[in-house]
Amino acid sequence: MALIEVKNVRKTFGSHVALEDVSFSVEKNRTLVILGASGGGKSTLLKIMITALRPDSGEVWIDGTEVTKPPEREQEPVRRKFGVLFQDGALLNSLSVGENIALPIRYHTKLPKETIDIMVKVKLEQVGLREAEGKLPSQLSGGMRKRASLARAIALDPIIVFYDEPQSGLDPVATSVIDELINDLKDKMGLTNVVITHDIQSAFRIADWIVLLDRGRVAAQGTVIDIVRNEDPLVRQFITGSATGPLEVRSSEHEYYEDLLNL
Amino acid sequence: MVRHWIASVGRKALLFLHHTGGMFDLFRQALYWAFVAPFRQKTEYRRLVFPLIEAIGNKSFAIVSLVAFLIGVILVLQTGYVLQKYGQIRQVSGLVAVSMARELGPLMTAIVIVARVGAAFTAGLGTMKISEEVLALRIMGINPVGYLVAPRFIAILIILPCLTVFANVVGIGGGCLMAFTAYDLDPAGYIASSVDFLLMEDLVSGMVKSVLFATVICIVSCYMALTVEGGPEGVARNTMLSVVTSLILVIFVDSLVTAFQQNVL
Repeated sequence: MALIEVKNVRKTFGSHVALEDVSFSVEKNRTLVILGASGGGKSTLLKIMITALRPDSGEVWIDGTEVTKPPEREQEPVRRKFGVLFQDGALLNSLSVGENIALPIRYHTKLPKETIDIMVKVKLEQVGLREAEGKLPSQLSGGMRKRASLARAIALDPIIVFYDEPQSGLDPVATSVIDELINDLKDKMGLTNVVITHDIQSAFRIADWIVLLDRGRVAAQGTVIDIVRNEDPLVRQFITGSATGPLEVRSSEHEYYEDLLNL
Repeated sequence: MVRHWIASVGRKALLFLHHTGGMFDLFRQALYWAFVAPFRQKTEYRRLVFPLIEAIGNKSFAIVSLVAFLIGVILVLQTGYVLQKYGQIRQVSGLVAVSMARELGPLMTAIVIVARVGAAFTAGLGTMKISEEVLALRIMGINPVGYLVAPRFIAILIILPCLTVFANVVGIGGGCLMAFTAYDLDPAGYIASSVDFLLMEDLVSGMVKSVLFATVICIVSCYMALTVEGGPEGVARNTMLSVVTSLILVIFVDSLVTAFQQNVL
C-alpha cells in the first residue's frame, strides 16, 4: 500500500487553475521528486500535501489517513508523521539552532532537558552541523540553514520528510551535500522523501520516482530511466533546458500586435 | 455609476466586517491560550513572557517618562494661567493629578506603546509570516496564537498598567516642578494636595483603561501581522495600518469608557 496517495487534486485561485487532476502515489522508503517550471503548481501541491492548503476537489492520503478534509484542530496526529524543510529554512530567528531543533521535542514530549539536549546533538550530527548548535540562524550560510532546518524536520523522527526546493540558492557543493543527506535519510533512517525542485541534476541523483508538472497538470511520471527515455517534446525540453519548445516562457495570452493596438 | 458606488461601499463594509470578525476571533483565541491553555496543556510562557516584559519595559521606559513629564509641565502651564486669574492657583495640583490618573496617564502611555511596541509586534510577526516561520510552527503542531500572540498578550497586559502608574507619578512630578518654578508653589504642599485630591476611583478608572488599551494594541498589531500578504511591502503596509487602527481604537475605547464612567452611556 502506498504511504502517500494524491488523487485527482484540483486547486484554483480565482480564475487561475493552479492544479488540475493531479494524481500519483509514493511507496514507503522511496524518494519522490516533483519537477516543474516556476509557476507550474509545485509549491501549491506541496502546501496541499503538508495540510497548509485545502484543494477544491480531490484527496490526499498519508499513511492511510485522509488529510484534506478534517478541520485544522484534527490535523495534529497526521502532522506528527512528517517533517518539512521549507525553502528558506523557516527557522525561528530569535532562537539558536539548538533551541530551534529542541522546540518541537519540548512541545510534544515530556522528556527531561538533558535528554532533549542529547537528541539535539544527535540530530545536528546527522546533518553534519554539530558545531552550529549555539549559533543564531542569521549567522549561518544558506546551505547550513537548510541543514539546520532539516535537523528540525527530523527532530520527532517522522516517517516522511517534505522538501521545498532544498537546492535553491546553493552552490554545487552545498547542493551535493543536501542531495547526499536526502539519500542518507532514506537509506539509514528508512524515511520517505518528497522533494519539490527544478534542479534536474539533483532530481536524477535522488529520485526513485519523478512526477513532472506542467501548468498544474502531470505531464509525465516514472523512474529516472523512464523520464530520460521519454520522447515527449515537453519532457525533452525540461531535461535539456532548451529555451524553445512546448514549455512557454512568454506568459501573455494576447498577441503582441493586439497589445500595441490597444494602447 | 450609482450601482458601482453601492457595490464599492458594500465591498468595503464586507471587508470591515471580515476584519472585525477576524480580530474578535483572535481575541477569543488569545484569551484561551493566555488563561485557559496553561492549565490544560504544555506552554512555554515562563520562557517567553519574561523576556518580552523586559524588552517592552526597557524600550518604553525612557520615552514614557519623557512624555509624561512634559504632559505634567504643559498641564500646569495651561491650567495655571486660568486658575491664577481667579486666585485658585493652589487647585492646580489636584487638577493635574486627576487628569493624569483618569485620562492622560493611560492615554499617552498607550499612544507611546502603539508606536513603540505595537509597530514592532506587527513588523516582527509579519516578517515571520512571510518567511514561513508561522507556517512552520503550525506544521510542527505548535499553535501560532499560543506561541506568538498569547505571550505578547500576557506581557503587555502586565507592563502597560505598570507603565501607566509610573507615567502618573512622573507626570505629577513634572507638574510639581513647573508649579514650583512658574508659580512658586511649595513642592511638599503640592504633592500632599495631589494625594488628597486623588480618589481610589480615579486610579481604578485609569487602570481599567490601560488594561483595555493593552488588549486593543496587542490584538490589532498581532492580527495585522498574521494577515500580512505579499512580501516586505505587505509587512510595511500592515505595520502602518496597525499603528493607525490601534490609535483610532484606543481613542474610541477611551471615549466609550469615559462616557460610561461619567454615566453618559
